[in-house]
Amino acid sequence: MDNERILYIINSPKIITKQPKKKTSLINGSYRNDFEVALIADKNVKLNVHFRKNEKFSENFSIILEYNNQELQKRIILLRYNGAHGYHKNKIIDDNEFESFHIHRATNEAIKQGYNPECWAYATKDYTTFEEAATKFWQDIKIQDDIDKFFKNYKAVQLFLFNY
Amino acid sequence: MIAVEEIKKHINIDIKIKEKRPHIYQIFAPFFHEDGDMVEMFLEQTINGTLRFCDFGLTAMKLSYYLENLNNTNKKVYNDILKENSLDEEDGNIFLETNLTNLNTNFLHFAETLSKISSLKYFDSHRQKNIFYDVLSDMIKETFQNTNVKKDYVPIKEYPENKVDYAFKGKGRDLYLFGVKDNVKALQVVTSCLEFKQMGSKHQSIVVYDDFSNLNLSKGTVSKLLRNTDKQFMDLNQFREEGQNYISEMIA
Repeated sequence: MDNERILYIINSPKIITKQPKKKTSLINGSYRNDFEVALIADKNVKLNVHFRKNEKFSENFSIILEYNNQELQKRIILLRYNGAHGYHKNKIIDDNEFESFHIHRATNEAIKQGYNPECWAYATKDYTTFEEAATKFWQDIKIQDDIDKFFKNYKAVQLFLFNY
Repeated sequence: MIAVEEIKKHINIDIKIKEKRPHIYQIFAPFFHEDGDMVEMFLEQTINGTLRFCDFGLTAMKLSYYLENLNNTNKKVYNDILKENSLDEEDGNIFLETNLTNLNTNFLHFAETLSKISSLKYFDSHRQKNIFYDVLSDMIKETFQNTNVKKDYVPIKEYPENKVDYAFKGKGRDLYLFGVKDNVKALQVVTSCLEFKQMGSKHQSIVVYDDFSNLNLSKGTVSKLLRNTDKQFMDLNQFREEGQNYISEMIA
């Protein structure tokens, strides 16, 4: 799976094919919701979206785009918008290290070398809360459905509960 | 409240400590997950003054990126790891009580055990390595759009456990297709087909394997499958190339 294909899938417009659950689940200390999207250009290309937010620390979250890679016969995480959970260190492409909000992205370099596909990441200032990250993610991966239809008041910071 | 400098004095490796919340300190130490993220560990001083290392559910949260659910086997392994390493868990928060004297050894032990738990992601049969059933489902949906196909078909109502993955309605007889990726499923297929025959069902059976040469089915299982089913496709590629023609002829 080359970088061109990875970026094509990430950037291609999508629609929701399996809706998020109406109520977020709290499982083992984190809030969770999952749904499925497909590329508008090729509905056979299906991806799972996973929302995760730690119950104790709202700045510890992940928003994930996961692809069913038929060529590799496994699911791989293409994109992961992370909160400021601690420290990250790259071992591939560059040796950047940071503590800030960051975005993991799958790379051909990681896959070819047998590393975790999304082990490369870059720091971002595009968001500072889970809700901002989810909105940005929604825009970046071009989900055509209106986010407000599924997550009411999503643009407002949820101070106490990740729920809608 | 214990001072940060006191904590650092008692841990023998190069660490950084930051107060995450009142009485909760995050320990930045050179332990990393495979994705490059540092293992998240905290030292908490509880209301009654005890110290404990915690992860506040972050190990389970990361595990959930790769595992849909902790199935029975994984949950058992998870609990065994905790128990055998004297760690506790409450609502996803894995913790280890400690004191200043044993801070260093308990810290290293805690970090090691979290790493063991994180490696559970390699043992998931749902997400990693095999999306065989999803691929088969998509293939059938795409190839047989105009064909009468029933998914999860139950031919004999009295035996609902004998389910057929895909049933194709034919003029003379029906075609029952099964996907097989392990011994358990293989034996289920054998049992089902035997019971269908005993009940006088008129059908042909097809098995599509998830790469037969790498499945490690036991010899006995393979013999039973070959004796009790009709057509075999050794992998998805062969089914992709030959399946449509074969099924179309059989149900014509």
